[in-house]
Amino acid sequence: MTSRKTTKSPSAGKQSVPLWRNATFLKWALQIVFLVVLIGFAWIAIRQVGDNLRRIGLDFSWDFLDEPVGFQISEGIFINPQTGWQALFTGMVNMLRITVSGIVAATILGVLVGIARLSRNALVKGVATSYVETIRNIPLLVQIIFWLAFVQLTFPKLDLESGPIPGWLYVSRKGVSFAWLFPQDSFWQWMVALIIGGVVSYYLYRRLFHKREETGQETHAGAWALGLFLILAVAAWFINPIFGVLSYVFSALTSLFESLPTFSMQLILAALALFAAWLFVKRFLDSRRTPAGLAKLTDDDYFRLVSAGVLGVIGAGIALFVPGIGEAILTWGGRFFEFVHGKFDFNTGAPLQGARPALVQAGLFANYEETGLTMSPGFFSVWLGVVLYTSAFIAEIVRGGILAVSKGQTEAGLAMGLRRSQLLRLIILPQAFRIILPPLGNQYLNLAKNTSLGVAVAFPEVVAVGQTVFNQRGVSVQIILFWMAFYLMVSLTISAIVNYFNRRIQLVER
Amino acid sequence: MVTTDLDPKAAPPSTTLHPMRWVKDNLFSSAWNTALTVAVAAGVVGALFGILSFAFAPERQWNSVVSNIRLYATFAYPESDYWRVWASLGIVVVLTGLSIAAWAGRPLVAASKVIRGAAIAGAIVLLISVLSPVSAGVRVIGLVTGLVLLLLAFVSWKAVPVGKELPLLGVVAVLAVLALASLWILPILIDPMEIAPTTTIPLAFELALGIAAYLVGMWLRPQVRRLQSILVGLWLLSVPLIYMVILRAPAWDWDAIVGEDLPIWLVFTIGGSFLLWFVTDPKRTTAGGVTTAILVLGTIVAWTPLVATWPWLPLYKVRIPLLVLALWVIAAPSFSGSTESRRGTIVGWVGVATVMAFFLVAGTSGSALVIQTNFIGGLLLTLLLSIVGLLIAFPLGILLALGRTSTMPIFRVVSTVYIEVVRGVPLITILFFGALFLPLFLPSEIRIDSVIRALIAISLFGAAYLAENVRGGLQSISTGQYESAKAVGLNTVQMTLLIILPQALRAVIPALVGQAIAIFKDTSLVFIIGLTEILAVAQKVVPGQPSFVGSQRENLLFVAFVYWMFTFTFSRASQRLERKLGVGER
Repeated sequence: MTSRKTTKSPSAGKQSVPLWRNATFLKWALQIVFLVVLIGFAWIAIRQVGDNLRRIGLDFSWDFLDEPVGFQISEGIFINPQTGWQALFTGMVNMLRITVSGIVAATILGVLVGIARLSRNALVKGVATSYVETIRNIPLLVQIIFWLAFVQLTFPKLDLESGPIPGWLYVSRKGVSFAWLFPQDSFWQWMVALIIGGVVSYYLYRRLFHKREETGQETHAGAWALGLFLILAVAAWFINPIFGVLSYVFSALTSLFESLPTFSMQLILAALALFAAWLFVKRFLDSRRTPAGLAKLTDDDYFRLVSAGVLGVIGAGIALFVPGIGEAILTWGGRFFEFVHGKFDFNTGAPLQGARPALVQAGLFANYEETGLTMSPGFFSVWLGVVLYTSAFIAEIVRGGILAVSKGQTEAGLAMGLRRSQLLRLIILPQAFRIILPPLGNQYLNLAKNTSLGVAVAFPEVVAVGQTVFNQRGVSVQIILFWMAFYLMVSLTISAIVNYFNRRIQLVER
Repeated sequence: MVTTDLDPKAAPPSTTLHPMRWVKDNLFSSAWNTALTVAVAAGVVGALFGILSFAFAPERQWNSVVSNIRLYATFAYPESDYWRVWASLGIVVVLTGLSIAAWAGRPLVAASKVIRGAAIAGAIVLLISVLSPVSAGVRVIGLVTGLVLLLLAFVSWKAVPVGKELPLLGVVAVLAVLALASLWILPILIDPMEIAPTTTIPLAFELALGIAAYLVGMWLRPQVRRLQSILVGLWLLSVPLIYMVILRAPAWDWDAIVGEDLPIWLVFTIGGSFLLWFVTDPKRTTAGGVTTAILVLGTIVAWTPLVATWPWLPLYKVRIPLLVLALWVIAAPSFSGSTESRRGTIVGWVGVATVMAFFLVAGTSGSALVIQTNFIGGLLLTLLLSIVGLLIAFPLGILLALGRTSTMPIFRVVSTVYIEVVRGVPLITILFFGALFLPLFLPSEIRIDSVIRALIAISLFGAAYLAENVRGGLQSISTGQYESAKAVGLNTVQMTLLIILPQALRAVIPALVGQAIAIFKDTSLVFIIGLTEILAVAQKVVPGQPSFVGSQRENLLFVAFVYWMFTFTFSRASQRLERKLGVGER
């Protein structure tokens, strides 16, 4: 951003400018008045909320996370949640399941449709165009509710002989159910082995690749790396219990969290807050340092330094004087490591086990977890809705990205004798990807946020579960804050991942 | 000297291809392309067959849509007051007609496009009549219609010279009249269908009104100098007028109007005028500044809980005009140098104060309509939420964008945090925030309507997204614009309002229209917090009627079509606008 400040004349300091004409004073006075008014309004509002809550007999406490709830959830990890936290956790996992699988499916579909939009075949182009123009001009909620009605009214009733492939795949009003692999007790031990295998194979690949570049000999880098990874994965399938040694680490962490006094946690948090502020100030000053010494700091720079310091002190103060925060971190940290410890407890048996959908009686699936994977009607409609909707937007982004690659690239590729498919795969798409990625990341964010529409079709994602919780316990304020924090965290994570890849693929300009 | 036998005024050689040539080039250019065409065509026909046999199956309850059309339009709006709905539509239609005349004039469309459209429509009608499971009579009618359209297209393609253009509005009017006529013709063709004359006659009247308004607009165009500005003002006024006065039917409390509102209005117009005359006096800048500061401080105090009780008046009747007056007084000196412009600011204030007083009274009085629930629903609610939501969100978004690009750090931080938090969470959480949180913020005596709460939530949500679009525009303005504005002696407010914003907003009009469409689609979410907009009618109300159980799919398809029509029209209009403005080519 460009600075739009008028430079002061050298004599500005000597001439006496009346205070109400001094630009710097006016600016800061305006901002401080604004801040005071804002804080005042926030203060009044918060007090009002407290009064109103007390009047209707509620308080602002988070105890419901730990207290039993009296409802069931139709699908997810805890279908009989014991506590409010378990219920919300189930909702979060359900939301993430749709988000992750939806992002993958929407990307594939969107790229295909986007390429079809630019086909030289008029019919393909027309079909892709009508797809995009239909899907993106209808609100997502209408689509999701339509898919639910479609599943519930059009799909066949469930019975033992039905299903396109009886025993393996059922499509019915109860949803889509198919055979699936399920992680068992030793799954996470195996996962650690896979990650180690992946890292080792990646280094092997790098070495062989460099060797090829240096010597010019074919080293089959990809094949060797893949082979090594597969061998390690298969070996780890049988010997994964050795990673149970990690359980010692986690049990040590558990007992550490349980034995630490609250006060020490408060001190650590306060120190962290101060350290973060100090780090920010140091890095900021470093960035303003030129070979000729520290650059002249503007008002804005001073503001940043002062606010970093103030925020650090406020953070430290909160950490020291609100013991609940330190206490919560200790409790939940201890529980987390205990939970992880259970996953690495020298568990034996195969990490994955297949299961086929099993009917207990006609019209009812047993319990989807052990008997094949079931996409319930709710899951199916939300998933299909967000995938189709997002894919239409992704298609437009892909189309725009491909069109933005200069025509010379196409012509040069064709001149070198590449086929159309090779041209697309080797020349156009890699370059278009640079343009596509940032708006693509926005679409991923939208998809994640749009999963919240599951509440309209009773799919138990985090909004729907939260709504049930506050209907039961009257904790609307806490639940709304919880939703906002959760979605902000998901949004930040997705944009961090997209930004990481974006930095890696952008051309470095100097 | 170079001689040439080319006529410089001659039209470029025609690039339109013979239809058969086009088919060959685009569908069967190679073996691979031919295979692709055949495969996709088979898929398309199969899919169409599936969709049509679903849509026209005898057990489909399309009459559930037709007989509930009034629920879709206005939900439970009372029958006896239905003229209010038609009057509102009439205002919109008249303004639309006038606006088309004022902005577009007499737009033309290439005859070849119309012919192609007719041919495509004919082909689609033919395809539908062949593939649908309808009775023989209807099939014959469909086949004949399709063939006639195709034949017409073919004959006129031969007869009409290349480059011929038709008036676009004529074509649209013919289509509208045809659509209207189908309201009378369809019930004859399809037996159980019935369309009451209480629907058809007002619709025909509104269409005629629109055409008349267009003709009047064409007549006014050369005579009224600032027709476009007047129309913009009328459009802005029409929204609160329709919502607060016509549809709500306020019960005027004449005692309060004469006893309270009229005196307050008199005090504010007369006192405000004197105040404005004083603060805009170029000779008394210091005294004017002190007066302004006192007024602003007084306003802030009036808005704090310090002034929580006012013995004989509802407090808002003073607070709101006071706030607007304070803003007016702050802004006025920037825009009034000459005596003439000083008078202008006063006239403007009197106008604003009058309109504001009128709408304050209309908006806060009770409604004379006798209904139990919210007085509007259906499409009316959808439109209300999106239009009023946009009107509130737009200035808020501009303020947020200015804050985010400001050099003043506190404004920047506050705007950035607001924008990023709102953009990071789904709309439904903000709607729940509005529905559950807002009542908690207010003292327990004040109850706000659930429609207003949803409106606030949608506006707060839309503002964050609009702000990002406006920011894009602000960042496209070159530094030279700021510097030259300063150089000619404009202050920051003048620079922003007169130089920067007009250019910035112009640059992002397409993005703003896109955002408006997104907000329009997003209003469907109020269904989740229990309002009966058009989607709720389709999902809950109609299938809840005993005779139409299980008709969700038909009704949802209808709603999808309604949404599609609005958004598709808007996005096409925005593309036209984009081409016309030539954004990106300047």
